[in-house]
Amino acid sequence: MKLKLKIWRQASKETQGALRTYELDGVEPDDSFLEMLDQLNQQLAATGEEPVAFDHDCREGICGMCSLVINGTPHSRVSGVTTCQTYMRHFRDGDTIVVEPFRAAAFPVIKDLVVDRSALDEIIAAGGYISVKTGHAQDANDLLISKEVVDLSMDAASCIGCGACIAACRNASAMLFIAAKTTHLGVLPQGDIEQPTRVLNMIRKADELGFGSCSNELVCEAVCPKGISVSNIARMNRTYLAAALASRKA
Amino acid sequence: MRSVAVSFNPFASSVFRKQILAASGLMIAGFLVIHLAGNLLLFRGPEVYNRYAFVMLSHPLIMVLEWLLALVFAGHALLGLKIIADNRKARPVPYVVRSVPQRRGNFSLISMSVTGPAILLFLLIHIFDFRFASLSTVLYEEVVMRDLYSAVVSTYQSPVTVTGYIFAMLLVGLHLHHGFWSAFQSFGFWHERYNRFIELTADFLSLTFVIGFVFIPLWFFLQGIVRS
Repeated sequence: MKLKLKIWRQASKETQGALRTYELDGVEPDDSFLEMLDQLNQQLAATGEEPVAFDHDCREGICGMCSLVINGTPHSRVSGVTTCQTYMRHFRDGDTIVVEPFRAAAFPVIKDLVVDRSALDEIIAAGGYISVKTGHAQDANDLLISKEVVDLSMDAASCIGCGACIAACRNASAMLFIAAKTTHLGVLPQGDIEQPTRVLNMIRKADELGFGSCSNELVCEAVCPKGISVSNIARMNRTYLAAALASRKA
Repeated sequence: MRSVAVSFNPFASSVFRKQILAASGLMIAGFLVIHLAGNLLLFRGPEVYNRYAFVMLSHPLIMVLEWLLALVFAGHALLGLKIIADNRKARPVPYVVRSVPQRRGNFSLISMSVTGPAILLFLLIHIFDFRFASLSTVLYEEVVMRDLYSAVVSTYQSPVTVTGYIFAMLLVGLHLHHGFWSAFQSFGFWHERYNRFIELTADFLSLTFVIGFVFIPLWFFLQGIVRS
Protein backbone atom coordinates (compact mmCIF):
# COMPACT_ATOMS: atom_id res chain seq x y z
CA MET A 1 0.00 0.00 0.00
CA LYS A 2 1.08 3.50 -0.75
CA LEU A 3 -0.15 6.23 1.56
CA LYS A 4 -0.11 9.97 1.87
CA LEU A 5 0.13 10.94 5.53
CA LYS A 6 -0.70 14.36 6.93
CA ILE A 7 0.72 14.36 10.42
CA TRP A 8 0.64 17.02 13.13
CA ARG A 9 4.21 18.08 13.92
CA GLN A 10 4.89 20.25 16.92
CA ALA A 11 8.37 20.53 18.44
CA SER A 12 7.26 21.31 21.99
CA LYS A 13 4.43 22.55 24.23
CA GLU A 14 5.43 26.16 23.59
CA THR A 15 5.83 26.09 19.82
CA GLN A 16 3.17 26.27 17.11
CA GLY A 17 2.38 23.07 15.27
CA ALA A 18 1.21 22.30 11.74
CA LEU A 19 0.29 19.36 9.53
CA ARG A 20 3.21 17.99 7.50
CA THR A 21 2.72 15.71 4.51
CA TYR A 22 4.69 12.48 4.06
CA GLU A 23 4.59 9.71 1.45
CA LEU A 24 4.95 6.14 2.64
CA ASP A 25 5.21 3.07 0.40
CA GLY A 26 5.29 -0.67 1.10
CA VAL A 27 2.71 -0.72 3.92
CA GLU A 28 1.13 -4.18 4.39
CA PRO A 29 -2.63 -4.45 5.01
CA ASP A 30 -1.90 -6.54 8.11
CA ASP A 31 0.33 -3.88 9.64
CA SER A 32 -1.17 -2.09 12.59
CA PHE A 33 -1.53 1.67 12.45
CA LEU A 34 1.37 2.08 14.88
CA GLU A 35 3.55 -0.31 12.87
CA MET A 36 2.83 1.86 9.87
CA LEU A 37 4.03 4.89 11.87
CA ASP A 38 7.14 2.90 12.91
CA GLN A 39 7.91 2.43 9.21
CA LEU A 40 7.47 6.13 8.58
CA ASN A 41 9.84 6.89 11.46
CA GLN A 42 12.50 4.55 10.02
CA GLN A 43 12.16 6.38 6.73
CA LEU A 44 12.46 9.75 8.50
CA ALA A 45 15.45 8.61 10.57
CA ALA A 46 17.19 7.46 7.38
CA THR A 47 16.89 10.93 5.92
CA GLY A 48 17.96 12.58 9.17
CA GLU A 49 14.54 14.06 9.99
CA GLU A 50 13.20 13.91 13.55
CA PRO A 51 10.88 10.88 13.89
CA VAL A 52 7.20 11.48 14.73
CA ALA A 53 6.56 11.22 18.49
CA PHE A 54 3.45 9.21 19.44
CA ASP A 55 2.25 7.46 22.60
CA HIS A 56 2.10 3.66 22.77
CA ASP A 57 2.80 0.90 25.24
CA CYS A 58 1.13 -2.52 25.21
CA ARG A 59 0.00 -2.43 21.59
CA GLU A 60 -2.75 -4.91 22.42
CA GLY A 61 -5.59 -2.57 23.24
CA ILE A 62 -5.56 -2.65 27.03
CA CYS A 63 -3.15 -0.03 28.37
CA GLY A 64 -4.86 3.12 27.10
CA MET A 65 -1.66 4.82 25.99
CA CYS A 66 -2.16 5.16 22.23
CA SER A 67 -4.07 8.33 21.47
CA LEU A 68 -4.34 9.39 17.86
CA VAL A 69 -7.12 11.13 16.01
CA ILE A 70 -7.20 9.42 12.63
CA ASN A 71 -9.13 11.21 9.88
CA GLY A 72 -11.07 13.13 12.52
CA THR A 73 -12.02 10.22 14.80
CA PRO A 74 -10.17 9.25 17.98
CA HIS A 75 -8.70 5.74 17.47
CA SER A 76 -10.10 5.79 13.88
CA ARG A 77 -13.52 4.95 12.47
CA VAL A 78 -13.13 1.23 13.21
CA SER A 79 -15.45 0.77 16.18
CA GLY A 80 -14.48 -0.89 19.44
CA VAL A 81 -10.72 -0.76 19.00
CA THR A 82 -7.81 1.40 20.07
CA THR A 83 -5.34 2.99 17.64
CA CYS A 84 -2.87 0.11 18.12
CA GLN A 85 -5.56 -2.42 17.17
CA THR A 86 -6.52 -0.51 14.04
CA TYR A 87 -5.10 -2.32 11.00
CA MET A 88 -4.11 -0.89 7.65
CA ARG A 89 -6.59 -3.20 5.88
CA HIS A 90 -9.23 -0.68 6.93
CA PHE A 91 -7.60 1.84 4.58
CA ARG A 92 -7.17 1.76 0.82
CA ASP A 93 -4.08 1.99 -1.32
CA GLY A 94 -3.48 5.64 -2.20
CA ASP A 95 -5.48 6.98 0.78
CA THR A 96 -4.64 10.27 2.42
CA ILE A 97 -4.69 9.89 6.21
CA VAL A 98 -4.78 12.87 8.56
CA VAL A 99 -3.30 12.16 12.00
CA GLU A 100 -3.75 14.66 14.83
CA PRO A 101 -3.24 14.55 18.59
CA PHE A 102 -6.17 14.43 21.06
CA ARG A 103 -7.40 18.01 21.46
CA ALA A 104 -8.54 19.48 24.78
CA ALA A 105 -7.45 22.38 26.95
CA ALA A 106 -6.77 19.81 29.68
CA PHE A 107 -4.62 17.69 27.28
CA PRO A 108 -1.75 19.98 26.22
CA VAL A 109 0.41 18.69 23.34
CA ILE A 110 3.87 17.76 24.59
CA LYS A 111 5.34 16.90 21.21
CA ASP A 112 3.86 15.96 17.82
CA LEU A 113 1.09 13.46 18.60
CA VAL A 114 1.88 13.05 22.29
CA VAL A 115 -0.45 14.82 24.73
CA ASP A 116 -0.25 15.15 28.50
CA ARG A 117 -3.19 13.21 29.93
CA SER A 118 -2.17 13.47 33.58
CA ALA A 119 -5.39 15.49 34.13
CA LEU A 120 -7.14 12.09 34.15
CA ASP A 121 -4.85 10.96 36.98
CA GLU A 122 -5.79 14.09 38.91
CA ILE A 123 -9.49 13.22 38.49
CA ILE A 124 -8.78 9.69 39.77
CA ALA A 125 -6.86 11.13 42.73
CA ALA A 126 -9.94 13.23 43.58
CA GLY A 127 -12.07 10.15 44.30
CA GLY A 128 -11.38 7.20 42.00
CA TYR A 129 -10.47 4.85 44.84
CA ILE A 130 -11.97 3.14 47.88
CA SER A 131 -10.63 3.64 51.38
CA VAL A 132 -10.19 0.32 53.17
CA LYS A 133 -8.08 -0.65 56.10
CA THR A 134 -5.80 -3.51 55.17
CA GLY A 135 -5.88 -6.59 57.31
CA HIS A 136 -6.86 -10.19 56.83
CA ALA A 137 -9.54 -10.71 54.22
CA GLN A 138 -13.03 -11.51 55.44
CA ASP A 139 -14.88 -14.55 54.20
CA ALA A 140 -15.97 -14.00 50.59
CA ASN A 141 -19.55 -15.01 51.40
CA ASP A 142 -19.87 -12.21 53.95
CA LEU A 143 -20.42 -9.74 51.13
CA LEU A 144 -23.11 -10.92 48.79
CA ILE A 145 -23.09 -9.14 45.43
CA SER A 146 -25.49 -10.11 42.68
CA LYS A 147 -24.22 -11.13 39.26
CA GLU A 148 -26.10 -8.19 37.77
CA VAL A 149 -24.19 -5.68 39.90
CA VAL A 150 -20.88 -7.43 39.28
CA ASP A 151 -21.47 -7.22 35.52
CA LEU A 152 -22.40 -3.53 35.76
CA SER A 153 -19.23 -2.79 37.69
CA MET A 154 -17.06 -4.96 35.43
CA ASP A 155 -18.40 -3.33 32.26
CA ALA A 156 -17.56 0.10 33.66
CA ALA A 157 -14.19 -1.15 34.88
CA SER A 158 -13.21 -2.02 31.31
CA CYS A 159 -12.52 1.71 30.76
CA ILE A 160 -8.80 1.96 30.02
CA GLY A 161 -8.69 5.71 30.57
CA CYS A 162 -7.42 6.48 27.08
CA GLY A 163 -9.36 9.75 26.83
CA ALA A 164 -10.93 9.08 23.42
CA CYS A 165 -14.33 10.12 24.83
CA ILE A 166 -12.87 13.53 25.69
CA ALA A 167 -11.07 13.82 22.36
CA ALA A 168 -14.30 13.08 20.46
CA CYS A 169 -16.64 15.27 22.53
CA ARG A 170 -17.57 18.61 21.04
CA ASN A 171 -17.01 20.13 24.50
CA ALA A 172 -14.00 18.01 25.53
CA SER A 173 -16.12 16.76 28.43
CA ALA A 174 -14.77 14.00 30.69
CA MET A 175 -18.19 12.75 31.80
CA LEU A 176 -18.00 9.26 30.25
CA PHE A 177 -14.61 8.70 31.87
CA ILE A 178 -15.80 9.85 35.31
CA ALA A 179 -19.07 7.95 34.92
CA ALA A 180 -17.15 4.74 34.16
CA LYS A 181 -14.90 5.18 37.20
CA THR A 182 -17.71 6.11 39.60
CA THR A 183 -19.94 3.24 38.41
CA HIS A 184 -17.09 0.74 38.58
CA LEU A 185 -16.51 1.58 42.26
CA GLY A 186 -19.84 2.94 43.42
CA VAL A 187 -22.22 0.09 42.59
CA LEU A 188 -20.22 -2.34 44.74
CA PRO A 189 -20.70 -2.34 48.52
CA GLN A 190 -17.03 -1.47 49.14
CA GLY A 191 -17.30 1.66 47.02
CA ASP A 192 -20.85 2.64 47.84
CA ILE A 193 -19.92 4.32 51.16
CA GLU A 194 -17.84 7.04 49.50
CA GLN A 195 -19.98 7.38 46.36
CA PRO A 196 -21.59 10.81 47.08
CA THR A 197 -18.21 12.37 47.92
CA ARG A 198 -16.54 10.57 45.04
CA VAL A 199 -19.02 11.81 42.42
CA LEU A 200 -19.01 15.41 43.71
CA ASN A 201 -15.23 15.61 44.04
CA MET A 202 -14.30 13.94 40.75
CA ILE A 203 -16.66 16.20 38.80
CA ARG A 204 -15.43 19.31 40.62
CA LYS A 205 -11.85 18.33 39.80
CA ALA A 206 -12.73 17.87 36.12
CA ASP A 207 -14.38 21.32 36.09
CA GLU A 208 -11.27 22.87 37.67
CA LEU A 209 -9.03 21.18 35.10
CA GLY A 210 -10.95 22.80 32.25
CA PHE A 211 -12.94 19.90 30.80
CA GLY A 212 -16.25 20.94 29.22
CA SER A 213 -19.79 19.94 30.15
CA CYS A 214 -21.84 17.10 28.68
CA SER A 215 -24.25 17.91 25.83
CA ASN A 216 -25.55 14.33 25.63
CA GLU A 217 -24.64 13.86 21.98
CA LEU A 218 -23.35 10.35 22.78
CA VAL A 219 -20.31 10.69 20.54
CA CYS A 220 -18.19 9.49 23.49
CA GLU A 221 -19.98 6.16 23.61
CA ALA A 222 -19.63 5.74 19.84
CA VAL A 223 -15.83 6.14 19.86
CA CYS A 224 -15.10 4.35 23.13
CA PRO A 225 -12.83 1.37 22.33
CA LYS A 226 -14.38 -0.48 25.28
CA GLY A 227 -18.02 0.37 24.51
CA ILE A 228 -18.69 2.10 27.86
CA SER A 229 -22.40 3.02 27.92
CA VAL A 230 -23.71 6.56 28.46
CA SER A 231 -26.22 5.02 30.87
CA ASN A 232 -23.31 5.36 33.31
CA ILE A 233 -23.46 9.14 32.84
CA ALA A 234 -27.16 9.10 33.74
CA ARG A 235 -26.39 7.05 36.86
CA MET A 236 -23.66 9.53 37.81
CA ASN A 237 -25.94 12.52 37.14
CA ARG A 238 -28.69 11.29 39.45
CA THR A 239 -26.19 10.42 42.18
CA TYR A 240 -24.67 13.87 41.70
CA LEU A 241 -28.00 15.69 42.05
CA ALA A 242 -28.97 13.82 45.22
CA ALA A 243 -25.47 14.20 46.70
CA ALA A 244 -25.29 17.90 45.85
CA LEU A 245 -28.68 18.64 47.39
CA ALA A 246 -27.81 16.69 50.54
CA SER A 247 -24.28 18.07 50.91
CA ARG A 248 -23.13 20.14 53.85
CA LYS A 249 -20.56 22.94 53.84
CA ALA A 250 -17.03 21.57 53.90
CA MET B 1 -28.69 10.09 50.26
CA ARG B 2 -26.23 10.56 53.12
CA SER B 3 -25.17 14.11 53.81
CA VAL B 4 -21.51 14.56 52.99
CA ALA B 5 -19.38 17.59 53.70
CA VAL B 6 -17.90 18.79 50.43
CA SER B 7 -17.48 22.20 48.85
CA PHE B 8 -20.11 22.57 46.17
CA ASN B 9 -20.74 25.63 44.04
CA PRO B 10 -23.92 25.08 42.03
CA PHE B 11 -23.08 27.60 39.31
CA ALA B 12 -19.51 26.40 38.82
CA SER B 13 -20.59 22.76 38.58
CA SER B 14 -20.85 21.55 35.00
CA VAL B 15 -23.40 18.89 35.96
CA PHE B 16 -25.64 21.03 38.19
CA ARG B 17 -25.69 23.83 35.62
CA LYS B 18 -26.93 21.32 33.04
CA GLN B 19 -29.64 20.26 35.47
CA ILE B 20 -30.79 23.86 35.91
CA LEU B 21 -30.75 24.20 32.12
CA ALA B 22 -32.76 20.99 31.84
CA ALA B 23 -35.38 22.08 34.40
CA SER B 24 -35.83 25.52 32.84
CA GLY B 25 -35.93 23.98 29.35
CA LEU B 26 -38.73 21.61 30.36
CA MET B 27 -40.68 24.54 31.83
CA ILE B 28 -40.29 26.43 28.55
CA ALA B 29 -41.53 23.35 26.66
CA GLY B 30 -44.57 23.39 28.94
CA PHE B 31 -45.14 27.06 28.15
CA LEU B 32 -44.95 26.32 24.42
CA VAL B 33 -47.88 23.89 24.78
CA ILE B 34 -50.00 26.73 26.24
CA HIS B 35 -48.64 29.21 23.70
CA LEU B 36 -49.59 26.99 20.77
CA ALA B 37 -53.02 26.20 22.18
CA GLY B 38 -53.67 29.92 22.74
CA ASN B 39 -52.53 30.89 19.28
CA LEU B 40 -54.87 28.38 17.70
CA LEU B 41 -57.63 30.77 18.89
CA LEU B 42 -56.57 32.92 15.92
CA PHE B 43 -58.75 30.62 13.84
CA ARG B 44 -61.81 31.55 15.89
CA GLY B 45 -61.70 35.14 14.69
CA PRO B 46 -60.50 38.57 15.88
CA GLU B 47 -62.79 39.00 18.88
CA VAL B 48 -62.06 35.65 20.55
CA TYR B 49 -58.32 36.06 19.97
CA ASN B 50 -58.15 39.69 21.12
CA ARG B 51 -60.14 38.92 24.25
CA TYR B 52 -57.82 36.00 25.00
CA ALA B 53 -54.77 38.27 24.48
CA PHE B 54 -56.37 40.87 26.76
CA VAL B 55 -56.81 38.34 29.58
CA MET B 56 -53.19 37.21 29.13
CA LEU B 57 -52.02 40.80 29.71
CA SER B 58 -54.44 41.87 32.44
CA HIS B 59 -55.16 38.90 34.70
CA PRO B 60 -53.08 39.39 37.92
CA LEU B 61 -52.18 35.70 38.22
CA ILE B 62 -51.05 35.55 34.59
CA MET B 63 -49.05 38.76 35.09
CA VAL B 64 -47.13 37.03 37.90
CA LEU B 65 -46.68 33.94 35.74
CA GLU B 66 -45.37 36.12 32.93
CA TRP B 67 -42.66 37.50 35.20
CA LEU B 68 -41.75 33.98 36.28
CA LEU B 69 -41.65 32.88 32.65
CA ALA B 70 -39.38 35.81 31.77
CA LEU B 71 -37.11 34.79 34.62
CA VAL B 72 -37.01 31.17 33.44
CA PHE B 73 -36.29 32.25 29.85
CA ALA B 74 -33.56 34.66 30.94
CA GLY B 75 -31.99 32.06 33.22
CA HIS B 76 -32.07 29.41 30.49
CA ALA B 77 -30.56 31.76 27.92
CA LEU B 78 -27.86 33.30 30.12
CA LEU B 79 -26.80 29.99 31.62
CA GLY B 80 -26.81 28.44 28.15
CA LEU B 81 -24.57 31.19 26.80
CA LYS B 82 -22.21 30.77 29.76
CA ILE B 83 -22.02 27.01 29.15
CA ILE B 84 -21.32 27.58 25.44
CA ALA B 85 -18.49 29.98 26.33
CA ASP B 86 -16.97 27.55 28.86
CA ASN B 87 -17.22 24.64 26.43
CA ARG B 88 -15.40 26.67 23.78
CA LYS B 89 -12.59 27.18 26.27
CA ALA B 90 -12.37 23.43 26.84
CA ARG B 91 -10.97 22.96 23.30
CA PRO B 92 -8.97 26.07 22.32
CA VAL B 93 -7.20 24.40 19.38
CA PRO B 94 -9.75 22.86 17.00
CA TYR B 95 -9.21 19.73 14.91
CA VAL B 96 -8.17 20.21 11.30
CA VAL B 97 -10.49 17.29 10.50
CA ARG B 98 -13.30 16.26 12.87
CA SER B 99 -15.50 13.36 11.85
CA VAL B 100 -17.20 11.50 14.66
CA PRO B 101 -19.92 8.84 14.49
CA GLN B 102 -23.35 10.23 15.49
CA ARG B 103 -25.62 8.32 17.83
CA ARG B 104 -28.41 10.88 17.99
CA GLY B 105 -29.21 10.94 14.26
CA ASN B 106 -28.06 13.47 11.70
CA PHE B 107 -29.93 16.28 13.46
CA SER B 108 -27.41 16.21 16.28
CA LEU B 109 -24.82 17.64 13.89
CA ILE B 110 -26.60 20.93 14.46
CA SER B 111 -25.50 21.75 17.95
CA MET B 112 -27.58 23.30 20.72
CA SER B 113 -24.88 25.97 20.83
CA VAL B 114 -26.03 27.05 17.34
CA THR B 115 -29.80 26.66 17.66
CA GLY B 116 -29.92 28.20 21.16
CA PRO B 117 -28.46 31.66 20.38
CA ALA B 118 -30.37 31.75 17.06
CA ILE B 119 -33.66 31.11 18.88
CA LEU B 120 -32.77 33.80 21.44
CA LEU B 121 -32.37 36.29 18.60
CA PHE B 122 -35.73 35.26 17.16
CA LEU B 123 -37.37 35.49 20.58
CA LEU B 124 -36.21 39.09 21.04
CA ILE B 125 -37.64 40.07 17.65
CA HIS B 126 -40.81 38.09 18.38
CA ILE B 127 -41.62 39.81 21.70
CA PHE B 128 -40.89 43.24 20.27
CA ASP B 129 -43.21 42.41 17.36
CA PHE B 130 -46.17 41.41 19.50
CA ARG B 131 -45.65 41.91 23.22
CA PHE B 132 -44.09 45.38 23.43
CA ALA B 133 -45.17 46.96 20.13
CA SER B 134 -47.77 49.71 20.40
CA LEU B 135 -50.71 48.39 18.43
CA SER B 136 -53.99 49.88 17.34
CA THR B 137 -56.88 49.18 19.70
CA VAL B 138 -60.39 47.80 19.43
CA LEU B 139 -63.44 48.21 21.64
CA TYR B 140 -65.38 45.18 22.90
CA GLU B 141 -68.28 46.00 25.25
CA GLU B 142 -66.66 49.34 26.14
CA VAL B 143 -63.32 47.76 27.07
CA VAL B 144 -60.31 48.96 25.08
CA MET B 145 -58.12 46.09 23.95
CA ARG B 146 -55.02 45.80 21.76
CA ASP B 147 -55.90 44.58 18.29
CA LEU B 148 -53.33 41.80 18.36
CA TYR B 149 -55.27 39.81 15.77
CA SER B 150 -54.75 42.45 13.07
CA ALA B 151 -51.12 42.86 14.08
CA VAL B 152 -50.53 39.11 13.70
CA VAL B 153 -52.31 38.96 10.36
CA SER B 154 -50.48 41.98 8.94
CA THR B 155 -47.08 40.79 10.21
CA TYR B 156 -47.62 37.50 8.37
CA GLN B 157 -48.22 39.20 5.02
CA SER B 158 -44.51 39.74 4.41
CA PRO B 159 -42.83 36.77 2.69
CA VAL B 160 -39.51 37.65 4.38
CA THR B 161 -41.06 37.63 7.87
CA VAL B 162 -42.97 34.41 7.22
CA THR B 163 -39.83 32.69 5.90
CA GLY B 164 -37.95 33.91 8.96
CA TYR B 165 -40.63 32.59 11.29
CA ILE B 166 -40.72 29.20 9.60
CA PHE B 167 -36.93 28.93 9.77
CA ALA B 168 -36.98 29.93 13.45
CA MET B 169 -39.64 27.29 14.17
CA LEU B 170 -37.48 24.60 12.56
CA LEU B 171 -34.67 25.65 14.90
CA VAL B 172 -37.06 25.47 17.86
CA GLY B 173 -38.02 21.96 16.74
CA LEU B 174 -34.38 20.85 16.55
CA HIS B 175 -33.53 22.48 19.87
CA LEU B 176 -36.48 20.88 21.60
CA HIS B 177 -35.93 17.49 19.97
CA HIS B 178 -32.48 17.16 21.51
CA GLY B 179 -33.18 19.27 24.58
CA PHE B 180 -36.19 17.30 25.79
CA TRP B 181 -34.34 13.98 25.64
CA SER B 182 -31.13 15.50 26.95
CA ALA B 183 -32.90 17.02 29.96
CA PHE B 184 -33.93 13.59 31.18
CA GLN B 185 -30.40 12.23 30.67
CA SER B 186 -29.01 15.19 32.65
CA PHE B 187 -31.27 14.35 35.56
CA GLY B 188 -30.27 10.72 35.31
CA PHE B 189 -33.41 9.12 33.90
CA TRP B 190 -32.15 6.18 31.91
CA HIS B 191 -33.87 2.86 31.73
CA GLU B 192 -34.66 0.44 28.91
CA ARG B 193 -38.24 0.47 30.12
CA TYR B 194 -38.88 4.16 29.41
CA ASN B 195 -36.00 5.42 27.21
CA ARG B 196 -38.05 4.84 24.09
CA PHE B 197 -41.00 6.69 25.62
CA ILE B 198 -38.83 9.78 26.30
CA GLU B 199 -37.49 9.65 22.74
CA LEU B 200 -40.96 9.31 21.24
CA THR B 201 -42.27 12.17 23.38
CA ALA B 202 -39.38 14.33 22.14
CA ASP B 203 -40.25 13.37 18.53
CA PHE B 204 -43.95 14.05 19.08
CA LEU B 205 -43.52 17.36 20.89
CA SER B 206 -40.97 18.82 18.48
CA LEU B 207 -43.03 17.74 15.48
CA THR B 208 -46.25 19.14 16.97
CA PHE B 209 -44.62 22.50 17.72
CA VAL B 210 -43.04 22.75 14.28
CA ILE B 211 -46.27 21.86 12.47
CA GLY B 212 -48.43 24.07 14.71
CA PHE B 213 -46.21 27.12 14.78
CA VAL B 214 -45.39 26.90 11.06
CA PHE B 215 -49.04 26.45 10.11
CA ILE B 216 -50.17 29.75 11.69
CA PRO B 217 -47.94 32.23 9.77
CA LEU B 218 -48.21 30.13 6.60
CA TRP B 219 -52.02 30.10 6.77
CA PHE B 220 -52.37 33.87 7.14
CA PHE B 221 -49.74 34.47 4.46
CA LEU B 222 -51.51 32.20 1.98
CA GLN B 223 -54.87 33.74 2.88
CA GLY B 224 -53.39 37.16 2.08
CA ILE B 225 -52.30 35.92 -1.34
CA VAL B 226 -55.71 34.42 -2.08
CA ARG B 227 -57.44 37.67 -1.09
CA SER B 228 -55.27 40.00 -3.14
